[in-house]
Amino acid sequence: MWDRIHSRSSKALKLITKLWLSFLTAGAGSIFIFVMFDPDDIFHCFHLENVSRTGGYSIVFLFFWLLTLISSLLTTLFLDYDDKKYDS
Amino acid sequence: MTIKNMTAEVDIKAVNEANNSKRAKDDDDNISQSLYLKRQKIYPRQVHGIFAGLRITAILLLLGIFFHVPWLEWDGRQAVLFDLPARKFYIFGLIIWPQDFHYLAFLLIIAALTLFFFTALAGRLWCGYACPQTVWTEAMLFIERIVEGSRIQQMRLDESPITWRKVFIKATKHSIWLIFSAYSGYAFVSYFTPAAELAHRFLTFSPGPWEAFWVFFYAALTYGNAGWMREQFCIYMCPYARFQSAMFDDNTLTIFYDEKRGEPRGSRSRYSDHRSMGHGDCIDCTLCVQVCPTGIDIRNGLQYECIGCSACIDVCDDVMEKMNYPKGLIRYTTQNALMGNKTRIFRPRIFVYGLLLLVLFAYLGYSLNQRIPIGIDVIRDRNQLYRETNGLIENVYTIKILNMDEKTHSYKLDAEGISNLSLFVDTENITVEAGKVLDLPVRLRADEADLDKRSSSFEFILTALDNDTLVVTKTAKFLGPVN
Repeated sequence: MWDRIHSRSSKALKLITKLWLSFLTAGAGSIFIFVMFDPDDIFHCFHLENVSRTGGYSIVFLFFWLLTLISSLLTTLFLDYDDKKYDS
Repeated sequence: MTIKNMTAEVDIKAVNEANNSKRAKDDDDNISQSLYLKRQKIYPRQVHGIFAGLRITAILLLLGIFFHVPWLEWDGRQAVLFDLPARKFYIFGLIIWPQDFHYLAFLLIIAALTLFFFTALAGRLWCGYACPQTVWTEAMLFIERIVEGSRIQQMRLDESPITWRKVFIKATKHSIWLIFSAYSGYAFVSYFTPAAELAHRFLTFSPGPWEAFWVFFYAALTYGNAGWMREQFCIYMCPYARFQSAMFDDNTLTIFYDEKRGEPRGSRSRYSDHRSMGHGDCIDCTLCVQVCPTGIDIRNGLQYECIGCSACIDVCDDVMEKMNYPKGLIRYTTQNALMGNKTRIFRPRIFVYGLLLLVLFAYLGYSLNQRIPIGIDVIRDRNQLYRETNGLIENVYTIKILNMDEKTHSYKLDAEGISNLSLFVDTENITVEAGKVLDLPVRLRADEADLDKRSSSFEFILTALDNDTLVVTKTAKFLGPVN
């Protein structure tokens, strides 16, 4: 089943999949962080008092998303090569 | 492309390589391209029938709930509001604070287990009837059908050269899709920002920057996922689709094509005796393939692409009726029933999921019932460990009192655990409004003779004056000189 999916998905689809899965993990990470910390407290540490709470949640989530996306992209860059191309 | 075809092509490549290296290189390029099958757009045919009716009912109900809930009121506020700026979640009568987060975690675990339970029992019910991807895709397909017409009309339109008529039809469809997506984005954000205020801000073109960002973000997500991605989301991107087979066994109710009855398939006249012609019941009309939203042929057996929408059951039943054959050539059944064995509904898997669900529900109910809507936090004065006042040892604390109830309460604070401990509070009346937090500075004094250690434990006890059962205690440390 997994081979079938991999052999059929195009590059664009693979990118969208990475975006989506990193979106999910970033969401889970944000929930975990914000249960423990108030975004106001986090931004006070960086002396950014003019960021609203909604802004705080959004920025931290987007930051997580960027991190998880970078990790996904790097992993594929390192591991996902076409075996047939390099075997010979 | 099937695995079989791929193997054949690779064999040819090997032969070519031996004969002509240049041609082999060209072939290699062709193969590496042909490994990616370009997605063929799927035009699912409209279905009518029992399951289609159930599906439409479920979809309308779920869309109705999703769009309507932000407008419900409870005690003069929005009934369901995940108020992120205030860090409070309102779910009808229940107010969830960050301190109560374990309730939400519990609810999520219960939701996941419920999904497992129903999947083990009846396959991908969630995917076919309730998943947002299905619900919104169906809505988009409905709009597409209204604007572009039937399956055949849609296919003809896509194949036809660009004309003003085609541009007009496509533009109309995408505009309606975009409006629907924008409203979905707005509805989603209104679970996090009061719906009426948000609507007002958008109608006056003055939304907050982040609100606007998230509305557009979710609108784009809806438009892309439900309008363009559709079944590809289920096939390639959905994590649940990848592991749902772990919940399946031979007793799981799934959509099956009855191969024994249907094969060998073949076309025939309605009035002919197909048995004598050596045919099974399948007339090979391919309607089951045409209605499939993921574009599979259910006659090839259960495939992971099948989202269990049962469109093929409805359409095949129609055909069977017209042919005067018994219905149910494609039907909800289990692997065991199909093999002629007995289907067991009650099996260990069902008991384990069911029991776990029951325990979790009972615990959630119990703990919500026992929940005391007061929160108390004790913060020691960081500047001084202790000080000596009038021959006594004094410690200073700040008590944070959270009133998580829906009405204002006055409280009485006590400290116990060290003999002759005296408590000094600067205010006579400790009152906290509903949903507010009070910082209360307090001082405690004890005789050095009563302290046998450098750090002694004691308890703060906070009791609501109007209700004796609203009591919380919090252990704290009292520091004194080393004896």
